[in-house]
Amino acid sequence: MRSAQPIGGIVPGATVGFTFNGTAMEGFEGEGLAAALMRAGIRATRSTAGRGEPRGYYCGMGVCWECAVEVEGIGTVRGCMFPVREGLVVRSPSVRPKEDL
Amino acid sequence: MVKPVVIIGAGPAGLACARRLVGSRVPVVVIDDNLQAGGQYFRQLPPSYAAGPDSRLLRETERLDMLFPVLRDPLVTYRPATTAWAVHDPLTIDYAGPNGAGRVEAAAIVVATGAQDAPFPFPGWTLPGVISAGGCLNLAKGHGLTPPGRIVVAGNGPLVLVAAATLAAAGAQVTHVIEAQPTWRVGAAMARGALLSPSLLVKGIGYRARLMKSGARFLSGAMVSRAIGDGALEAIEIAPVGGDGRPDLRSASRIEAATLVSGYGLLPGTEFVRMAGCRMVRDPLMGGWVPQRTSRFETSIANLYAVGDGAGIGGVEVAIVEGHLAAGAIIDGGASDAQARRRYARLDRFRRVLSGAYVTTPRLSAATDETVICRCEELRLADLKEAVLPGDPDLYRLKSATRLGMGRCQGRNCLTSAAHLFGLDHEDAAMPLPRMRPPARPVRLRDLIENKSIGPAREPDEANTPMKQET
Repeated sequence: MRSAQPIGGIVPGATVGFTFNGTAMEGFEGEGLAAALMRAGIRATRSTAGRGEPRGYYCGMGVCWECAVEVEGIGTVRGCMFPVREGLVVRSPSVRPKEDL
Repeated sequence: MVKPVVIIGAGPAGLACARRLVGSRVPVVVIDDNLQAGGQYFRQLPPSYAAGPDSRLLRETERLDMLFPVLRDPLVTYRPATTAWAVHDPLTIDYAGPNGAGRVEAAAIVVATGAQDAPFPFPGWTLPGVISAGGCLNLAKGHGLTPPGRIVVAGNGPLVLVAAATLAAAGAQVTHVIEAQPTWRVGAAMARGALLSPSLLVKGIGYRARLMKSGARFLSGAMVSRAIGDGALEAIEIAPVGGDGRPDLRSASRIEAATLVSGYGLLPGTEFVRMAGCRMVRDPLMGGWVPQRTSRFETSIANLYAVGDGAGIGGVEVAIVEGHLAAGAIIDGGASDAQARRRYARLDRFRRVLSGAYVTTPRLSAATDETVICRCEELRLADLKEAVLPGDPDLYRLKSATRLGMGRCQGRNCLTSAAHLFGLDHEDAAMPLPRMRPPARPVRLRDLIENKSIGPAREPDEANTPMKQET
């Protein structure tokens, strides 16, 4: 299956490096974290706290928070709204099972 | 110091409003949740990107050149990446974001918050690979990307065609386009609307032609009944729309797909006006519950205006004219607007004709007992049914009992579908959506600490009374 593709005729920003769940990734400067992960073929970017179900990019406009990721030093952000830059350390949000709450 | 007009949202409506106000030397504060202005329709690529003249990205740039320069005007304070998270008397807004937090007292507030995709739950709609139509367009316009693999676009409304045509033009692998309405119904509306807005009709025909050329199969009168996959989307199931508005599973068929673009209508973003306590009215042709407005777009709260898709789905043309007219109302009571008002009356008739073609009775639904209704709190329809107490169900009690609508999206992706599934969203219903409380969107504690003077929340039933002063 082909992953998310850059649209022809669009020149992206400079390539920058970041990590996702400890794996080195490449992104285009300024693109949303969710877009960079989608280009890398990662579809589920987190699991839910209750049933552990996979979730990923959905609304693309900052409404649903399904693409939420944790950025070190900043906290939980919307992946579709947070621009990639060099050196970001990104993880799937840490979940505590509901019983602990 | 002169109080500014505060505009919430830097999409077409907000920018058009700002542009006219600044032309009359009125200071303006524009607060926008997005990193870059434009809203959804004019969503921009990241600043570090460039789109060449041969770009395969369908997007409109003409009106950008008219709307965007206003943000550089010295009379405009533009706050991107900022949430207007609370509103209180007198016309005071608290805002917060990575660029700072604060409070601004407004001479008038113009709410131009735009729309989102209406939640449309079906089994499997939470699987990665199922994306909303707006999310699909934003992936293309905002990130220069098409979604992965074989793509099916399904839904009910003009956005189905726009999303599918955008993907096809960009070279994505769209295999099926599935519109729930029969083609004759949409065609009839188009014919009726042709005289009111010929340019939109031409646009619609262009989209359809582009799709036919791409080789995508177009099916009408069918809907998604299920998304299937282990960990991510692998296939979808579609079925004809039955007389009850549900998929007729006796004739279901399966389509392999890695991406499903789901576009079952748009929902006005009313969180801010609901938080402010504006009186709401139900209008299916406007997308459901919308703020009641005067002919000058003032809500039930004096000097609080609502324009664009957030006040009723109408698209970019309607949004620009409404923003322009609201500015006129603020400047001189709309004294010089006869011509713009005539243009607006025509556009308003057109949007009602068009949206009327997609309103179905009974409403479309594909949710089953096992379908997740509240994505944040992982509540299935069966969980909600279990929590309904004897007597009339209402969303307040469902919310208290189950946390429906209390997750990060704050009800934006569940409350309207839950209201529908429990029969709470009809002509005679009282306002079925629980009131919105600050913060309107999640904000960081750090930002709240910097902004200590939080105002009291205003209740919806206080819509026509001055804010109660705390003693």
